[in-house]
Amino acid sequence: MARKKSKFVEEVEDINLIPIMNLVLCLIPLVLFKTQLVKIGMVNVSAPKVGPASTKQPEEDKDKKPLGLTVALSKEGFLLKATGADLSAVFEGQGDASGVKIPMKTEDYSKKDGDVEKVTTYDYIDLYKKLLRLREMYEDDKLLTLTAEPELEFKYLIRTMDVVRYQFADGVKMDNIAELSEAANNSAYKKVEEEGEGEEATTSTYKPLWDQVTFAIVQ
Amino acid sequence: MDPRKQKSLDAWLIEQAKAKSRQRRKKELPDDGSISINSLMDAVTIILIFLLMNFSTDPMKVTPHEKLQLPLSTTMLNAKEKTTTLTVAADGILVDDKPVVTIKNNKVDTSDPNTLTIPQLKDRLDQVVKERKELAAALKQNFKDIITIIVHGETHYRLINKVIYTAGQATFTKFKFAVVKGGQLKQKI
Repeated sequence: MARKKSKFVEEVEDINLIPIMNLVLCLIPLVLFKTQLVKIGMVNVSAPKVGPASTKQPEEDKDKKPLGLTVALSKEGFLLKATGADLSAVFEGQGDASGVKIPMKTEDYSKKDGDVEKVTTYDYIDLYKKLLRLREMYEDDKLLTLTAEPELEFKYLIRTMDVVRYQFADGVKMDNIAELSEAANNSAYKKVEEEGEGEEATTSTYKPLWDQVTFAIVQ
Repeated sequence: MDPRKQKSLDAWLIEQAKAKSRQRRKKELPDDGSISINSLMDAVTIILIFLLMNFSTDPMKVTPHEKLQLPLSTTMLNAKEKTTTLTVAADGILVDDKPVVTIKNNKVDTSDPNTLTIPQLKDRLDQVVKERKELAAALKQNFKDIITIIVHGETHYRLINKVIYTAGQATFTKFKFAVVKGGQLKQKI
């Protein structure tokens, strides 16, 4: 006679997850406290020179005067000045002895809901193009002095530094501020190969425009 | 047996059988409206993993605040080392998170408007430099004259000028400004 199969099924008890849950719930506030949801970056600024400028010329290059480029921000726009060159001659038909003015620009700004709004901004594109031309003319100059109206907010100085830091790659569209902004956010910069030491024979870095910035101290 | 007793026993047995059946059905059907701890566990584990992925190992921590909105930037540099921090919020200046002077309408409360130096800030920075130099000497290291400046985006240039000048007077020569990464150049004036 065939033996009847036992119907007995072993019941498996559920794992007690409560102690693990307690541990995890304690960990969450701890980790949350140490979590930084905004990414903090750094912008380097060289030490400003205070006091009268040195009259001593560098020994090696007495013939070539340094450009001494200054970008001044006001509520009307940018003003480019240089101690070592006549900028009105460089940018023919623009500016005078006091410098070259880059006035504010009004642009159409498309909002997320599709509406188009008129927005007045600094003309970062014109500033970039002019600084690029000066970089090509004065390859050895590195320092750019930034100054602003006393009442101007700091955020505009940071945005200006963003534009003057690196050279954008060839073919990057910059017909409006939105395109320039997108290119900067995507780091669409020109790259240069630098010879390194050790295993990595060459390293790739972004080509600087005017990356050494200092603030002018106005007494 | 007394028929009345027999009847009540039958009723009790039927009730027991029904209860057992109800219990069995309850076990079979998981969707009975009660919270499943497994789902909660899954959710909590996902949250924990997300938080661990964003766990900050940066040497500098800035908590966004109404009075301290950092400007946006496209910079690619990160905070690499721990330095002296100077915070310029909308309502005061702090050195290493300790308040030094108060600010009202973008003006330092007690400083002389005709000079660039902010005396209280200069004293505090001198003290910090002295402490750091002593510590560096004890550890046989070089003192790093780098200062990280955390500035509220709407601070006026005049005040920044004063702060930089004062920090320069306290022998700091390298300035790093803290910004929030992922900036936009679009703006309204």
